[in-house]
Amino acid sequence: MRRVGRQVAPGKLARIALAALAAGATSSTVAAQDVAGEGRALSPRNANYAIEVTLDPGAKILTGKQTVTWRNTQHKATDELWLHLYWNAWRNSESTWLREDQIRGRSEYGKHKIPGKDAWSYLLVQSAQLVQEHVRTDLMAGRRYAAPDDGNPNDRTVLVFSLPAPVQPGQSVQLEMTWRAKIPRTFARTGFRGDFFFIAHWFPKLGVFEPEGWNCHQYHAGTEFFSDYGNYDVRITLPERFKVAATGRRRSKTPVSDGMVTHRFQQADVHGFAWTASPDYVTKQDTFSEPGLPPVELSLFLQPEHLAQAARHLAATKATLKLYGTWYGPYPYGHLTIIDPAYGAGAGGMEYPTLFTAGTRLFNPPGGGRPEGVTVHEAGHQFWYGLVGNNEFEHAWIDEGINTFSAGRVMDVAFGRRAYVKRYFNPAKTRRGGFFPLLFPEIRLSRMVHANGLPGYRSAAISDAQSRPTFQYFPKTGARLSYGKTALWLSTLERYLGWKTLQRILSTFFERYRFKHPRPRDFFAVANEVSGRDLGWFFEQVYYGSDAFDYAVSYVSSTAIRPRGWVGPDDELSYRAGKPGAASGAAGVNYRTRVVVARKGGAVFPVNVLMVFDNGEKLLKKWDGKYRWVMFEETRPSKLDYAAVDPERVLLLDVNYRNNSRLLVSRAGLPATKWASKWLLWLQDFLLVFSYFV
Amino acid sequence: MIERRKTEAWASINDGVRSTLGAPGLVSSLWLANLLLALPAGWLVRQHVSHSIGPSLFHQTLREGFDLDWYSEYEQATGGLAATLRPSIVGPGAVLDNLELWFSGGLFSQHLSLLALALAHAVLWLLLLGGIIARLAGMQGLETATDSHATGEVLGPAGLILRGVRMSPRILQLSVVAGLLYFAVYRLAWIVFPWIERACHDVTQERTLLTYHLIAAVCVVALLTAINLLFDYAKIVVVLEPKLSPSSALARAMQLVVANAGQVALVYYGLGAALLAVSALYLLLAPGAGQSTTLGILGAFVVGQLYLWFRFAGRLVFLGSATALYGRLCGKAAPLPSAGRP
Repeated sequence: MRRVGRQVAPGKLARIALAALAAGATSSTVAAQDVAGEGRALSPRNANYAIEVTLDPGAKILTGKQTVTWRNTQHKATDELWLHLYWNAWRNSESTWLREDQIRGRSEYGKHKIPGKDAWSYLLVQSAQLVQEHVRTDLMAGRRYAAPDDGNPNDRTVLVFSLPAPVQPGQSVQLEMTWRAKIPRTFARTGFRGDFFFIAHWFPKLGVFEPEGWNCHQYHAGTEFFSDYGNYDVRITLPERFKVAATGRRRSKTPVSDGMVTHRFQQADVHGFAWTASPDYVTKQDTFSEPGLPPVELSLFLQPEHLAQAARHLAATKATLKLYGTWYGPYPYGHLTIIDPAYGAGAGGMEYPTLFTAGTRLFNPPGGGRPEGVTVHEAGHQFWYGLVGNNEFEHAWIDEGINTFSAGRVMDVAFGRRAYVKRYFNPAKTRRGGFFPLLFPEIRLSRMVHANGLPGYRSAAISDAQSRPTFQYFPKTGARLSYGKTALWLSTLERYLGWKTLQRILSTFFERYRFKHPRPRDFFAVANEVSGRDLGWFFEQVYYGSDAFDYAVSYVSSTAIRPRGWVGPDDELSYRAGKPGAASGAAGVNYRTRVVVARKGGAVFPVNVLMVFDNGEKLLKKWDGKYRWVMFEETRPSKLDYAAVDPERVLLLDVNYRNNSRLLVSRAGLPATKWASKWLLWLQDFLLVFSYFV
Repeated sequence: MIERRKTEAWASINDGVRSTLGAPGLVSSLWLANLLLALPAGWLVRQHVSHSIGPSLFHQTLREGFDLDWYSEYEQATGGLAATLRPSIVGPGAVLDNLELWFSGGLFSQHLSLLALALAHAVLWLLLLGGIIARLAGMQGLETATDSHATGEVLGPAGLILRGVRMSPRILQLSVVAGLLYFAVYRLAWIVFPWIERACHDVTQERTLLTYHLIAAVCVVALLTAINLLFDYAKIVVVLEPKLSPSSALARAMQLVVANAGQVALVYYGLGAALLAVSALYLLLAPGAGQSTTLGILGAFVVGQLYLWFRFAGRLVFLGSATALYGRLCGKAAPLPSAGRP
């Protein structure tokens, strides 16, 4: 059992922290400039941070000092600075984050148990001074907490400083702060478990000043983050036994005193900084190199028990860098760190600039999609989130949706369809699932349905319009719209426009909005421009609307044509009796086939209708899909075998694909018998097991 | 002395196997009863699946294998008994799913219709158990005399049922007590496993937690099997010693198990290991999802049914061996040949 390692007395830690802060104080304000000196600026670099932080691993406390240099890039002045204090989301149960999470019913904080004292967190700003043209002004007196989203007076995740004078367009200010933070027991992917620490969204961080004013939302349970790009220079002081990984490159590792060391990391042109520390990490280094793409140094920080899975992590990361790099644009930073978090830490599957957390288990059979799937997804976020920095509070679909779609595509291209896995031996019934996986190689998951999240979307299809700000989505269904619906409508566009066109749309969007904050209309404009079509009708439905798509073949018939009654020319009328279809199968007989296709959902999409006849003849019809139903009538020498609407499954948003095809005569009997017989065996075994107790 | 105990245990297992092999009709009847009880539910699920596939083209992919695209729609559109059809029932999953349910106590939190079927199966087993023990004892020449049966008489089907029904109230009393004990073990497990999880909230390596869970699991399985073993003997006593009350039978069984723990354990856990080996063999050979013809589907069904037949035979071997050992320990059986003595 691994527990917290050697602890340093709090008083001692405080002295070390002060010493470390003092040592860095002289250089901190210029550090951001040093980073900025690294080559050509890729981003506006208008929010630059120099941070010195000390970790007390025993008390789970961070003590920090930071200088933020902010430049007003808008065309209007502001007399306020708005900052996120994300860790106050777990300060107490009345925060907006925890209130929302109670609705989701996912959090142990919200639903199940009152957490222990060590689980809660806070982020307290202890001092704040504005430095503007060599004048220092204390901002603490004019500070206030704001709750712009819900007015929750108990939420303290947004702090506002009033400034003595407005910051004019193009003008820069420096904000010097000291703060203290209690690290939560790992929660929302940040915090500690034993002596494993994953520290993300941990320091007071500026919101984004936009033409409409400050965009600085409260921290919500269902959404993530939004920040400006800048340079980060971070010094982390902690006991020497810890291995440390962080955003950026390590510039130095300097002993401080009493077994403490300071790690210095720097990174330019990013919008966040995360780090992790654990004495357990084993590291692997590798290099990604691919013709036409810049090389990337890969650093993998693994749990010792996962050493055998190192190659799988690296292969998945390389596949992502290669395919995203080819499809959208190159990864420009030259280095990338992959973190395998501690078991049960809940820190897996999250993206941060130049660093991401994957997540695996002790036993994971090849072909089961893990750890490859999560690694590809989070590596992919380096592009969609890291480089294209959309507002995740309001438009999470841009990064999550495009990335879900892209990651599914990478998995398909690089690793093929994954097999269904069931995990056994889960005695404590945790969300992590059982310890021992069983792979069902015959049962394969498809990209279009499963990687895109159709099953989840199906139940949430009409819950919200995607255009609603993401933080306002209903907490239980929000992710299904951001991730699943977007991936599904992108896959629909892939099949409707063709991959080449969609790839050009996405690469153009990527190229234009790297290091920027694109909005939905920017994506739609690029899609229209690159495709050469007005796709407004499509986005109107999938983005602004919340109707479901559901096309169905609601009726088929195919009967021999044998007129009855008075037949023949007017002067040779003859009467013919008989039953309809009585001459079925006779030579020279034609069949009248009728196929009714219905639109059962509210949303409209042009569809193909396929008719396949007994003699193998195929007939493809087009329908604009607008009316509630349409009938196709054909006369052919053969009977209909089946009809299918959208047979190529272009419209992946269709919530019911079972009704998309219809045979003239159902052939469900044999497969139904087959699956019922397998279920029967399970039931018999169940009964037999039950008799154990008699 | 130890050698003699081993010999007695092996001889009892031998008797148990012989008496089971000598009653293929009984095994087949039990298997058939199980099948017949499950069939209506199977038919119901077939109707659900058939309705879900309907006239759609999913019939092709479901014929060739398991189609998760179809299943994602099926599971969202169905409920109740039909919802227990899931991908993991394919191949070895069917057995492992139930093993997991047995271990976790999840058997009791199933859909109501499943529980009703399980209860019916248990009642059937309860009504027959006394007769089965008496029949196995009779085949082994044990004293099974009651007011109407002679020593060593092998019961016919009618006698078996009659004897079983007559014994069922006494066996029921034992089953109720056993049930309470099983429940207590599960309750304990439901406390212990989450406690381990909480106590290990600073553990950072999965294998550490897995080790603790495995240790706890071994304890839980040991308790469950110990109860099962004890009550198997109590039921044998209650059948073979009709003058004893169920509580006295339980006391005697306890005495016997404690006094002869080595032999009893050797018989029970030796057979348990053999049963696990048979199950493991089936897990390796279990037909998967790929049968697409009527013949293939039938073949897979037959393989599965054969496995179940062996499971029933295994249950009888357990009972027969325990009965034989009880006979030996209580002097109701013929003594072992002198060559086997130390």
